[in-house]
Amino acid sequence: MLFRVLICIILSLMQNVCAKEPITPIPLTMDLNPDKVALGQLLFEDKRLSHDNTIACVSCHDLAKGGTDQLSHSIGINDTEGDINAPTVFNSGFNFRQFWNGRAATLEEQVHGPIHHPKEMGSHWIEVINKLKKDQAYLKKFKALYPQGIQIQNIKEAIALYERSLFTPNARFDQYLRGNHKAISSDEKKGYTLFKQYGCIACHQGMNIGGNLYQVFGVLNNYFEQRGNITQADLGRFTVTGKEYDRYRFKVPSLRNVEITAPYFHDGSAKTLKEAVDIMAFHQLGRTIPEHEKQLIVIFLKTLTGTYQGVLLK
Amino acid sequence: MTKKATLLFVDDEPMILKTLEILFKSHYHVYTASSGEAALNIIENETVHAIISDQRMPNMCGTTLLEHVKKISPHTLRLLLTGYSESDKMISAVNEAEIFRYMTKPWDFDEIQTRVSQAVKISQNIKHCPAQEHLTSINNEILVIDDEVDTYNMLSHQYDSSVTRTSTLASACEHMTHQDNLTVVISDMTVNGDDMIIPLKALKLARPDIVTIIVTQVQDAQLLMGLINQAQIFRFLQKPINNQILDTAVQAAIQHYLQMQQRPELLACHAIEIPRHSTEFNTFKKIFEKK
Amino acid sequence: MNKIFTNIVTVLSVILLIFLYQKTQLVDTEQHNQVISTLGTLKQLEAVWINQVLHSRLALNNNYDAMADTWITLETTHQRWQDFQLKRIYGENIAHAEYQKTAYLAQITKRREYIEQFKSVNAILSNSVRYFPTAVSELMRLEDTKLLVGDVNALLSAVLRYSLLPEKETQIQKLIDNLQEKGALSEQDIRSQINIIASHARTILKYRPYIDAILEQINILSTAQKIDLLTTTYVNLQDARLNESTPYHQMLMVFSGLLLLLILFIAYRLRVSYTALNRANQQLKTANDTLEQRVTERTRILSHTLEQLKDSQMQLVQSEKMASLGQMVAGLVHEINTPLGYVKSNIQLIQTIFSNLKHVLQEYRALIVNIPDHISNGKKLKTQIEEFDELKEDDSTGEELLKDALYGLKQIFELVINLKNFSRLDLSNISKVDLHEGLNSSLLIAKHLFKNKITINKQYGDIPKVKCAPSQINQVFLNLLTNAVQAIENKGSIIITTRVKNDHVLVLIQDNGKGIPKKVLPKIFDPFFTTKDIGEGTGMGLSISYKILQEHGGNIEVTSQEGKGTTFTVSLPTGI
Repeated sequence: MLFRVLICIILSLMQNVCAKEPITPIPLTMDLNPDKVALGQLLFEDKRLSHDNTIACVSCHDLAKGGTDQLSHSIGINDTEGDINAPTVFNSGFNFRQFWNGRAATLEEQVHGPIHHPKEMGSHWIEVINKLKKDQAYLKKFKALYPQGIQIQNIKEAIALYERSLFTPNARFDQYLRGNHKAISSDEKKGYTLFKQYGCIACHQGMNIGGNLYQVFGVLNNYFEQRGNITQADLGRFTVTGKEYDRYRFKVPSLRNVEITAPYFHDGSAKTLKEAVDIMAFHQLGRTIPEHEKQLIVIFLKTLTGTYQGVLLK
Repeated sequence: MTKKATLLFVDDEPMILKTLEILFKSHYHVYTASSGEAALNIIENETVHAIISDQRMPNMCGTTLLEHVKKISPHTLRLLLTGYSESDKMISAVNEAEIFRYMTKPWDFDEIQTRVSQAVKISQNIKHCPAQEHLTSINNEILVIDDEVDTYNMLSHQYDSSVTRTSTLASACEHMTHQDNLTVVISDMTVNGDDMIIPLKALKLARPDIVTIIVTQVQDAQLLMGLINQAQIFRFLQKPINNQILDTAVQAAIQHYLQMQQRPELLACHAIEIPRHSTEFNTFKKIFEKK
Repeated sequence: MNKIFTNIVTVLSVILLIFLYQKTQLVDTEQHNQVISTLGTLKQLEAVWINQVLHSRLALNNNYDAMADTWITLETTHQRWQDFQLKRIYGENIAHAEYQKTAYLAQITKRREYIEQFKSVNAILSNSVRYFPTAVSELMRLEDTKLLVGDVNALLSAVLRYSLLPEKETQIQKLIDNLQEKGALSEQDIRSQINIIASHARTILKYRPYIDAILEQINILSTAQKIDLLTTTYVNLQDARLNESTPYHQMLMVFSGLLLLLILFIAYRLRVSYTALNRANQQLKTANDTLEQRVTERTRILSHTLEQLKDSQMQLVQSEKMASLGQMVAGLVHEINTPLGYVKSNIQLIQTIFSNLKHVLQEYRALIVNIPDHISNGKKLKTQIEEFDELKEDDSTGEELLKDALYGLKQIFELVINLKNFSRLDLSNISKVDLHEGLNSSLLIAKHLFKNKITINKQYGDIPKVKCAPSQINQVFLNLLTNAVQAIENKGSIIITTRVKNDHVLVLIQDNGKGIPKKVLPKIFDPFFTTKDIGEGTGMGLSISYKILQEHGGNIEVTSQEGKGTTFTVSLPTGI
């Protein structure tokens, strides 16, 4: 009995220590070179980055669709269906690695991937640079910003800078974190409490509410056995490290703007938030959540939708 | 009074101790110690109202002893009785040991008796309660009396508008009589050629609550003795002054002021010895008492 | 021919100079320091990183942002390291360092993988530990679970203990099986809740040892040692480089020194030959005219210098004497004052006792009158008291003796004070002083000495205020005035002159008294030197004055002519 009291004391102490919220708000402003950001935007929206001039970055990362294409799997050149769900470009600068399996360390490194992927843009750097060099406007803009002109490194940097500028501050939940207790309703607060109680917070924490660690999909109940039809993309980090340990291990995705980035998971299998919460509860937490509590968690998740350039995302 | 007050004499010369014991034993309960260590032993175990110590002793000098006594037994009033006055030792007697009187050998019997009995009376009135940890107050004004601006500049960074500086005797007197929340006076020994020592002595008599700090270039044993016995200065700092030392002293002075506000009986610890045959002193006294 | 040779030498010198310069530029200390500081940063960052891991384990960190940020900083720091042109800094021989670097990078990459594993596992483990008590209470809330209370509680405390302390797993395994067995016959909802509890308990069982193993690996993979080794390697490389370039450095120094000397020599030669002719002519012309004049000039300067030398030597000796005396006196005064203290006090005490005794005797005398002689010893008592009375009448009674003793003590004390003032190393109360005021007040004090025999003649000039200690300077004036008065035997006058000379203020006190004999003139500033009768003066006056002026940066000088008078000149610097 005494021991149990002791444990309770220790746990409550830990709770006290952790009185600081595990989630932190996104900064309201960022200091980025506006000229390079503008150049990055041009490149991001430029279809010449793909082999047949049909696909731009923005094709799969549409800002009007929450920075995604809202498809289970993206469509690349020649109308090819890709292998994986396109993650949102919003707030991607805050992720600790890029891609679902974390194979790129930075956004700069990430740029290389889609351009070369046969099912995405299917091009390569020499082709891209040759196309861009024919454009007087690009030549002029690059020259003004980079002494060496159009180069791989500079294209990468400009695009990455633009992507970093796509951050979404001032979500209602961030306002709450900043001390405005009226920013979210009492039900939403309850949802947040449940989000913490059920243990979602163990992985979805930090400024990006995720995006800073890897986790196995199916900790307590195997997800892939139940779903079946296992593909290369399902192997997760295993494809990067080749270690058994990394099988089915993915970068925990950010929950920012989760309301508008359906469908969910790397396979785009969950169409609604409720479905996603269900799957997470069962496979990651090993339990089922009662209907009304699930509802509360979902409405909490909706408070995470932020603003881009002062406008609330839709 | 049925119970005799207790005195402790410390000197490494046994003849001195013997003589002093004979002089005082009829009216007081007298302890003697021939070293600092022995004295501390007594202080720790007995209630002593006043300690009178020599300065030059082997192992532990008088100032160090009194500094310890101040910590162990704050209600014991501390007096030095010394054969030779070195000004740097006197400075630490002020700054570290905060002594009540500084006396020289050979002594005048009446004088030493007056000083000791005054110290004992004060000590008996102090209630035995521990010092307050840290007191805060907002309206503490500081007056700097100095020809040079260094001291003022350092303080005004920290204390902003609550510090004023004056460089004439007349305006210093004006400030000292009319400034309501005056807490600390920081003064050089002379200002614009005028002597500040006598005004400071008179100020201490009229307003024992104001804490005085001397900041000066001059280092003179004779003058220092007067500043201890007749002006009860709180700190004596040497120019050129260091920011940190000044700040520590001023903080301590403010704390001391606040302590005295809380426990007015402590004010008596700064009773001064009135300078003899000084018409100047009386004039200043009248000015300050007007308020 | 000679010209060609010179040209060749010049060209060779320049080539040698450039070569040596190049060789000494091998060592790039700044870059080296940057490399070393980068390594230091890495070490520090890793320490921070591991600290963050431990914080997360203890749930003191509630998100992984800080850890992720630290890794990013580490990566940028690695990049900075890669960007150094190590071959340029350390030369070609860096294979070993490169090998060590690769080993380090491999190790830190491995360590990072473990840290990523840690994050995953820690999330799972902390989730199950956090949920476990809730799961148990959820079970208890269901109906018909009373029978299970004991087992469930046992499991709960065992699991929670296990999550914090290293304990045996088998027992928990048993408890889980036990609980599932007991619940097997219960309702569906109870069974499924028990299964949830069991699966979380197993998760904790599985992951706690796992996380410990990961932490151990992280610990084992500490790269601090590797960084230290690398630092040493780089430092050694740098040292080798330094050693390599040192001889070139020295050579360059010597060579450029030689060149400089050569140039100087040439310049000198040129100048000499250029002016030699000119000067020879000039000299010849003027030699005859000025030879005599120059000889006398030289003689005058030489004798003046000699005088100055003598003077300053004397002053040096004088101030040396003063300083050592001062130090001696400081100790002496304390030693004298201590016995003086109790002797004086004791004598005062005896005086009191003595007078009390006298009083008692008087009382006795009054009483004894009434005692008849025939009463035993009455007569004897009377005689004794009378004897005492006689003693009292005598000049040398005890009382008088005590008084004398006290007087003697007072004189000792005064001498000590005099010594003390003399040895006082500190200056009292310095301020800007009008010397005329000081002179006037000194004259006022000394007035009783003048009586009617002396007239004072003030010739005050226009002098600025002087920064000094007025009480000490006045002491000097008073001293000099007293000496002047004592020098005048009958009638005479004292002239006081003030004026400015260069950056000093001079005060001249001139009497027309008997003057000072030439023999004693050099001794008058010595301590204890006196011409007065013993007891009339301490012989300290002038030496104190001398010391006071030395401390003020001033001086005191004397000129005297026997029979005609003496002039003391006090000079004080006008100050800053």
